[in-house]
Amino acid sequence: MEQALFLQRIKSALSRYSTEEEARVLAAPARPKTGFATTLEAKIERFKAEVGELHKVQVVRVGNWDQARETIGRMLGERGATSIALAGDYLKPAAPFWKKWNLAADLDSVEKADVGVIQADYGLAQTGSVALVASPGKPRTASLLPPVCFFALSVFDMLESMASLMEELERRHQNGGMPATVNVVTGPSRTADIELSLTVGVHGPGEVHVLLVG
Amino acid sequence: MTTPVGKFREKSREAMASPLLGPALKNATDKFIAGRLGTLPQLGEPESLKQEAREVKVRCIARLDQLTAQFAESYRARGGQVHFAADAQEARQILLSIARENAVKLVAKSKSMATEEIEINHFLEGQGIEVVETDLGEYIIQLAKEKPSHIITPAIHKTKEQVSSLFHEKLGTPETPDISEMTRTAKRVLRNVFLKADMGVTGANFAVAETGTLTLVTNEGNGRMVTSLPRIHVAVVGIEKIVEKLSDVPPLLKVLPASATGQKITVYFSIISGPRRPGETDGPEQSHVILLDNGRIDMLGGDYRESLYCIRCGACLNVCPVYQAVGGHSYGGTYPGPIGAVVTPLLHEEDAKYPSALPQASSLCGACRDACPVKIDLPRMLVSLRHDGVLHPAGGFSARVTGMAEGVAFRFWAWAAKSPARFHQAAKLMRWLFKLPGFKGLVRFFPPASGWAFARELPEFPERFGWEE
Ligand code: SF4
Repeated sequence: MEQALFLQRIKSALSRYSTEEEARVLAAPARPKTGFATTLEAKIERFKAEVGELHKVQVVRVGNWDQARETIGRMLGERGATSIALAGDYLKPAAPFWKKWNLAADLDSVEKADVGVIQADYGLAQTGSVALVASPGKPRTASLLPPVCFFALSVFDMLESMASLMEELERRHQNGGMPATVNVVTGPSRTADIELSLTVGVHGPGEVHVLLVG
Repeated sequence: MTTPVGKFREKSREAMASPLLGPALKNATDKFIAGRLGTLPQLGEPESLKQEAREVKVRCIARLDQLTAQFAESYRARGGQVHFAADAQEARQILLSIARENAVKLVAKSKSMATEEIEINHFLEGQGIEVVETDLGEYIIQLAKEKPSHIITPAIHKTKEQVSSLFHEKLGTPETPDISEMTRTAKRVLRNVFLKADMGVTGANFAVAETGTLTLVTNEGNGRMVTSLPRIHVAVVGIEKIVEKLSDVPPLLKVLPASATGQKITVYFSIISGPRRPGETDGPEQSHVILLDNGRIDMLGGDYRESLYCIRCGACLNVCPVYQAVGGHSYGGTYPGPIGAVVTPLLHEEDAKYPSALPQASSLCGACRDACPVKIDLPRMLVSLRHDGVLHPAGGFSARVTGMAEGVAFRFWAWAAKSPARFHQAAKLMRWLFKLPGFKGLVRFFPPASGWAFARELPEFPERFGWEE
């Protein structure tokens, strides 16, 4: 159907009916923002507590990005990973560090990688989530196709909640920088579609861990 | 003559006779109810969370003309293409032409009620295009050639033994009692589908007008797969999903997973604004959105408007004594439960089997209204549908005729009740009418009888009332 006609039909449907509730809601001032955590440490504590409730997600805090790489290297060694999908500027510069592993360069090798190692862009303290912004250096699939995923997050990118992430994206939108895709990830991929029995790792990674950096 | 209500009752009786369905439904609805009651209070005061969510919908639906226009403009500005579909048939044609233009052979679908409503699978397959459902539950019912029986867990009516033999039969895997084994099988098969598919088809939970953004909630990751790997993404979106701005999303997202599965948030929440940007190595090269009417605009124009606030959480199904007893398939359409009983007669759903019967499928106990995270007054609309409803020749539902029928019935009894003599005459007329073949089937749909007709057999009209001479 033509856009103009479609919109006209909506408009005339709206004009045929209205409620007092609508009038009241439309006239009401915007709700004040509610926050819960004022300090960075409070947000980090809440994040850790929330992550603790997720399915077998470990959260480790390290002091800086060098330590982050080292810790990740150790975790990769412990599980005998040979190939990884690596994404994110803070992880990448130390190229020689990653020599030990085959770095996935195309979709095919991302699909075959043992572990995805991804720098997360934001954390959401209220739900223990990480937000991943797609970009040329950070493919969507690096955090999706491998069976295991490590997220590294700078504590300075810790936000309170989904509402704060939306404010952040609204800001990016105003500046003309709305990303094509942001994925908010909370724990391992899961399903309960057969007899409501919880099973992890159905399409996405079945195991995820978070490193807090800073 | 089997009336629509008769058919509904027949289906329900069959469902209730199944020894497996009852326990499966009880298990699911009990768990979901406990999940919702346990989680909502952790997120805030439930009543104010619901009120806030409702107000977002009230505001956005009241301005849907402007917001739809704005969404179309912003989505195009992101590099996406926008299509408008008046009904299911038009939506399917649009989908087909996108597929044809791009020589699409394989479509990977993530779970979406809107695409269920327009039934694209058979249609595209008839055109030589393979369509695979990728949500585990949807995949199971696609293999079994069935319809979803719950909004959130579509295969809730299946036991693990049934799934195991289904996989054995269709995929050739050995029988197993192990659910994770079955999940791994599905993962392996569907991984190939994701990698090979040319087109990903999704719905959207919320569409943001200001930024041209679509958002998707999933737990398995299939929603991410179909919006990351295939070169084309098509979202089929009911117009009521449009909200004004990004900040409208959190209040709705807060109550959605909590009311659906009892999660604070789903594992994945995807915020997608058009195709991949230059330099990116994955994500769709082409993005389309099909904005779907299919009866919604008519709902907007009257006092069923409120049903467009629905965020498809399934909470009203779980608490409904009728749903708990008869399961999703008895409703004979895409949307079961109390919300299905309201929207199925109003949406132009070609496959709905007996839409006009569904408003009877409720005891009007009000549990659905109390559970609903956007406080939709479902009982009010069910009663109003009962009053508006008459059996349309085509078995469908016609709101216009119905107003008249209601008027006639009530005016008749109001007139008759004015004097005993008149009532006597009226009763005589009714006795005569009741003896006509087919009349009792019809009277079920007339107030005041319609309210009770589902619950009980309509008695014979009494040969004489006690007070009659
Ligand atoms: S009507 Fe309310 S409870 Fe039912 S699915 Fe919709 S939002 Fe959920």
